[in-house]
Amino acid sequence: MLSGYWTLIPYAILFFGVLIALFADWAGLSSRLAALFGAACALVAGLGFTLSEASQLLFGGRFMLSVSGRLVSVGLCIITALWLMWIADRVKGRTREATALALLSVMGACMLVGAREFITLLVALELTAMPSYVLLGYWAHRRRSLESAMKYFLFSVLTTLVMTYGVSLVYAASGTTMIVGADVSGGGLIGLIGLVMLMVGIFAKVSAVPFHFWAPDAYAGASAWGVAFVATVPKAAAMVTLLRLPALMADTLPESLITVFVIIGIMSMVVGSFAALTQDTIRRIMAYSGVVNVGFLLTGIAALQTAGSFAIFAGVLFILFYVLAVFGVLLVTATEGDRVSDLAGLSERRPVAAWILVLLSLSLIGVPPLAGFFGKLYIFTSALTSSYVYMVVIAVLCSVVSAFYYLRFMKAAFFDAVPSKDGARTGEEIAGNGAVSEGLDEYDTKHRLFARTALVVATTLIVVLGPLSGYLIDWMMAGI
Amino acid sequence: MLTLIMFLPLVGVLLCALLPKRFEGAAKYIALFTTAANASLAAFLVGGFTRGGGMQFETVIDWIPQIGMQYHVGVDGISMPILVLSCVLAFLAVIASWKIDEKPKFYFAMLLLLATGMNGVFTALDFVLFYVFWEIVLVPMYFIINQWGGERRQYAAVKFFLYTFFGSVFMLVGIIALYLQTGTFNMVELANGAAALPAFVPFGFQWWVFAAFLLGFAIKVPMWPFHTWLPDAHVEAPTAASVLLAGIMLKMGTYGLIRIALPILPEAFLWFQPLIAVLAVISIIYGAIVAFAQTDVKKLVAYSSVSHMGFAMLGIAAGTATGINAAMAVNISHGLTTGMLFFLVGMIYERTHTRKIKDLRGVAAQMPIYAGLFVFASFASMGLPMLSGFMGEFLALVAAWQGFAAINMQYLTVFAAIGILLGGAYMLWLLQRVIFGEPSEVVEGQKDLNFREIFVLVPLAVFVVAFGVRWSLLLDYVDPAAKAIARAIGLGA
Repeated sequence: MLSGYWTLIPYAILFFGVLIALFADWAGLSSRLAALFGAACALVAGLGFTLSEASQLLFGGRFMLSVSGRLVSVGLCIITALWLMWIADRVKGRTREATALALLSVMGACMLVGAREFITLLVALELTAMPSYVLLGYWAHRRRSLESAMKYFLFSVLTTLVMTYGVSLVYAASGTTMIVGADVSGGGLIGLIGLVMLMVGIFAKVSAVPFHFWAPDAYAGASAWGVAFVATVPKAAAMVTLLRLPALMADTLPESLITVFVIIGIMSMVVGSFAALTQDTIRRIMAYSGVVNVGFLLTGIAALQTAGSFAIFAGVLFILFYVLAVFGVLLVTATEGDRVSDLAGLSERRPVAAWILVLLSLSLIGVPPLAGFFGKLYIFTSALTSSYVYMVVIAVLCSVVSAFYYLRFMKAAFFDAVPSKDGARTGEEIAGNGAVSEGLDEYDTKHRLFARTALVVATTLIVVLGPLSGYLIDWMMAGI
Repeated sequence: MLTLIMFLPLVGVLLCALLPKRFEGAAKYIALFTTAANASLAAFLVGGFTRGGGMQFETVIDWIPQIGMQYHVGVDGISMPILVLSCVLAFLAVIASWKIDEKPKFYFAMLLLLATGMNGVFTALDFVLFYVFWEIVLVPMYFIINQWGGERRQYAAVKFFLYTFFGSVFMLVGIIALYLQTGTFNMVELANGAAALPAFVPFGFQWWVFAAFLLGFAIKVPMWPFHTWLPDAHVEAPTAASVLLAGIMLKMGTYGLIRIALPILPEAFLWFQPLIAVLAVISIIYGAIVAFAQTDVKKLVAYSSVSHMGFAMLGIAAGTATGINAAMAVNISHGLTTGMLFFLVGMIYERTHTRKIKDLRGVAAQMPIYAGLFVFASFASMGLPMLSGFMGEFLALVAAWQGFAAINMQYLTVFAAIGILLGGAYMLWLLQRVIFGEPSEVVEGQKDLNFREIFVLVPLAVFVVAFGVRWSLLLDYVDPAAKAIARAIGLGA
């Protein structure tokens, strides 16, 4: 068991992985080996998090890995390890920097879920986000990829500045940078504006409406494997922050901020689910699905005051189950092409991959007994304790609407005819909305073991974690 | 034992999935074996069942204790007959699908998954477990319709999935709301609690939860105006899927109302009683009238299902023990007769590749055994006395007459009776056009039923006659449980 400052050892392990990947040339490691070593580091770090004692205040109360934060850290380390295993086998070219960036980002993410002070929060948030910009624009010779990275970068930096300004206003109103006990009521309107500006930064990171429009463009332009990381690890960390901030400030949170959550939540659910209906690109659909799911999360957040710690557990499990499924969907479809129609004939080409896609899509729809169902069950259970019952009604309606586009994945993979012998794979066709199936040449099919293991492990977790989620809750409650 | 009945097909699914491509043909033997084993287990279940003994064969294991979820299964007089029907129909459906050679592994795996889901729904006594099985059923059905269906199968499959999913998510909200109010997912405790303590759940809250449940169940039944997914799904689905859809899956809706909505939310039920009654009668009449207009035999049978399930809803609307007996009798009898009809339609379609009424003529002259069984099934479906259909419709009318006196809606019974008349008329007209006359071009030269096909139909026919002659064979099991539920509602026997 690790306690006290020893609980920071997993971060050191992650950083060690970063250094090895960065200096892989000197160490004589290939990109593949660097990624695999990084995966090992992430797994060991994840193990370290399970061993570390939670709920200890460090750095004068600025940092504390709570029980739920610990679970998130373990989950994110596992996802990162799986991602590194996949790119080690599949992605051609120089990926050692990608390994370093991913490990840096997950390090930031694990800090973010423990931050209890605004400055620490900002630093960790940026440590999580900065590598993601680079990952989206990783291939500098691909203009669409650069464009998407630029879009994400400009928007994200702008909102971070707004957020920083918000923090300074909150400090002005409350006189403290600690999150717990930041009572802005003394500052009048200034404090409230500060809080709202603070939340804007988070809303932008999680792509909640109306700060969502960067996500579809950024995802669609970048490489699928980069998106598979950016849409999961940094996104999950930001979603957890969205959940934690109001929870930590529960005693001092102005009622009007809850109203903001409700409005943004409803807008996210409605806009996200309907906007995705007309999309043809897998990654755009997943971007909008992210918007919808932030809305679902907000139904639980609106109930923080009535559901108490259960709302936190529910939210954390919901987020983890959601990003795990997104991660799997993006990777399993990565080597097929951009558009949903590129999935045609998947069940013939790669039957196992097709069934993995089915299980993950069903989990995203929320069909029991897969993990996604339990995530929704918990989040709606905590949401129904509040007086915002209508939010839950909107949420279930939106999950029916969004079921439609997850069903499209299944339909394409199983029942659509392949247009021509290799039509779906040449990557020269241009879809109606201008998406180009380019860059399939960046994938390697030589190695199989780790890439397959990564997908199978992710799917197995989706299948078994739901019915066993009682143990996860136990594990979180054990630390209280 | 119940756990075995539920999960044996799932073992079959895994075996099918692991089957190497070369031995794909073996999938049907796996399916045959597991469903046969299930049917024999069901027979043991009937043998070991104590009539009037309440919940039996119960298993309770903590599942997610943090929110009070349990693995809790058991059967009583309401669920046992449907469970047995489900096991039998699944077995017969496998035999009827013997000729499927397009991706047999996939097909039989999905059929077995469907069996797991259906059996689970009728045995689960924990709300979340119930919901799990309720939803699992959608997945194999979606794939079966989509892969082995007719021309518009993609449309039908998506419509089926989304429509029923729409209903079930509201049910989920109802389940969660009920849990937050009472702190338990245990269906038995909830039902007992309501019986012992009428003020257990406040009325306004009951009203909302009942509305959510009613939406979910009414779509599944399906009750007018939520029936539109049914004809599409039925027409496009392959034979075995149609049989299970009509025979078992529609019963999930009526079963849910009887098991959950009525005993747990009795006061809200009394409020909704007139609405359910009116919708039931509309379903009866509407289904029958639309059935007249059909040119496709399968679609005609599908609309007749809407009409027949209306009688089950009529019995439920009465809320008395007689009414619940009636609903159960309709459930079982409709499962048998419509199962037969869909099997028969599938058999003629395999031969002639058409289901158009105008193309089929003179079947009796060419295929006498087929014609005989078809006439038998149609008569059973019309509700001829001494066959099982009569029991349910008669009891439903009696229950409606008695039960609706309290809400001044006895006149509805008259309309429902007209529905029986219409039902007789469209079935007879169908027989006249399809069975009799000179054989048409497509019917000419077709072989009569073979042994396998007769083997599928005969067990159902035997049950139809047995229940028709001796109602008590079924009602002795149902009645004690029905009385208990009627007491819970407070309308007595």
